[in-house]
Amino acid sequence: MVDMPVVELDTTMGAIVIELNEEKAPKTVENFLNYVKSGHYDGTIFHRIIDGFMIQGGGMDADMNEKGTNAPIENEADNGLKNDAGTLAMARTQDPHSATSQFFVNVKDNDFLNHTGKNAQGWGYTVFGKVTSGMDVIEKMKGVPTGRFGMHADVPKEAVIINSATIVSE
Amino acid sequence: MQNFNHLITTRPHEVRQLLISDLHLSPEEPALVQAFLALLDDCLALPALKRLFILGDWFEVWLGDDAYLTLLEDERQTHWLTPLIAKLKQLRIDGCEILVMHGNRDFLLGQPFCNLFGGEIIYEPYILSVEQQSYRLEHGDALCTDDKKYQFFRKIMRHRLTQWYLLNKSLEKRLAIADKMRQKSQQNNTTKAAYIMDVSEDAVTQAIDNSDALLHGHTHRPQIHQVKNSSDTAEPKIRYVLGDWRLLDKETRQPKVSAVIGAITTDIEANIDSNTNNANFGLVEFKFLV
Repeated sequence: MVDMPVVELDTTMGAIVIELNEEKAPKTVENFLNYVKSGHYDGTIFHRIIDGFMIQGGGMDADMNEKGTNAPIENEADNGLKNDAGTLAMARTQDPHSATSQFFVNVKDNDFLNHTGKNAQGWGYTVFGKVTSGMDVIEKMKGVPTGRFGMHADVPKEAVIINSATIVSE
Repeated sequence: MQNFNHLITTRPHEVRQLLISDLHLSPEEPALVQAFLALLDDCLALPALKRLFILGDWFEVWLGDDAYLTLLEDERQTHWLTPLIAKLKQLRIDGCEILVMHGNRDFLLGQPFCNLFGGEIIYEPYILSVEQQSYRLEHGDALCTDDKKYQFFRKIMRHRLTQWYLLNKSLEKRLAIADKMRQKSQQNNTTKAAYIMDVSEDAVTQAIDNSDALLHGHTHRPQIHQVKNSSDTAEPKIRYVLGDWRLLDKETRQPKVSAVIGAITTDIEANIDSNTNNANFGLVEFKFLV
């Protein structure tokens, strides 16, 4: 049995503990841990929150400036893991292999995000972990008031900040 | 009536919710399908669109989700529904909710099909709150209470057991049943008086009683009506009727698809926590040059 790395996110709304599935998403987990170790996630916010869908963060600071990232990683959404409520997945652009640092927590079973085929429409979003503690924090987060910020929509009116991301066990 | 294109090019940030119905899409109507895909492209370009309501008769006929869900990957690639699902999925990923209500043609449409694009089945009557106002949304066929024959038929068709029975038949058998039903309906419609094929005043008064306004489709008679309020001193309530999607000027060099749809717009500076009435609810004409 491979040990699953555990990371704790200390946020302004509470602590969230996540378990990463290194076996099923090795490249994604390695990429994520690199960002954690370099302190990239410290000071980033959950900048896109849509109740009934997902909460997304890990890319912008509290002033909505995008932080620099490393090279994009390969999509591993064909690993069989589903975008069910409580799972963590990588955010990306339309390009299936464009994920860098941003991730999101599904707050519902989002079947339509799952891998259906290796084509632009069907690649899906890589699930690489799940929330093991702090779902109550996620529940609180998903209901925060949001609005527009420049060209961004669904931005929390009051910043939801990740003070620090630390590796609990590797 | 305001033009949809004009609305989205002059005030894109203000378009918050859109309501459509009675598209009657099928592979036999490629122009209507293209028009719907064009509407979805417009939706994808709107930066603040939060909800798209599809209020019934989205499809001309729906034999069951399995007709699409049991298709193999390469069969799906060439299916007419696939581009629709792809655009709807992208719309959902962009943050817009897609809410689907049954009509009298597509009452067998299920949540499994909607899961393909992150859509949600909603049931009538659906009460939509827009700031201080409550809008009652329904397909409209339940309001045609003067058509007793139809209401009896509807009661049977919408029953869980009937649907269970139908969905247990092979797709081939269901297609045959649907064809027969459509034939019978067309025959009956030729002998029915026009008045019973529209909503009845009593049904409307009753429906609108607990809401500030009523919106429906089904009758294919788009219009905004004033409905007398039950209390004499109050202002009349409003009944919005969405239009069906029509292919016009078929024999000319420039055929076009036209549809009357609903749009909810708010002031770009509107604060959702404020008590002021910044929202506007109206009907606009969507036009697509084929």
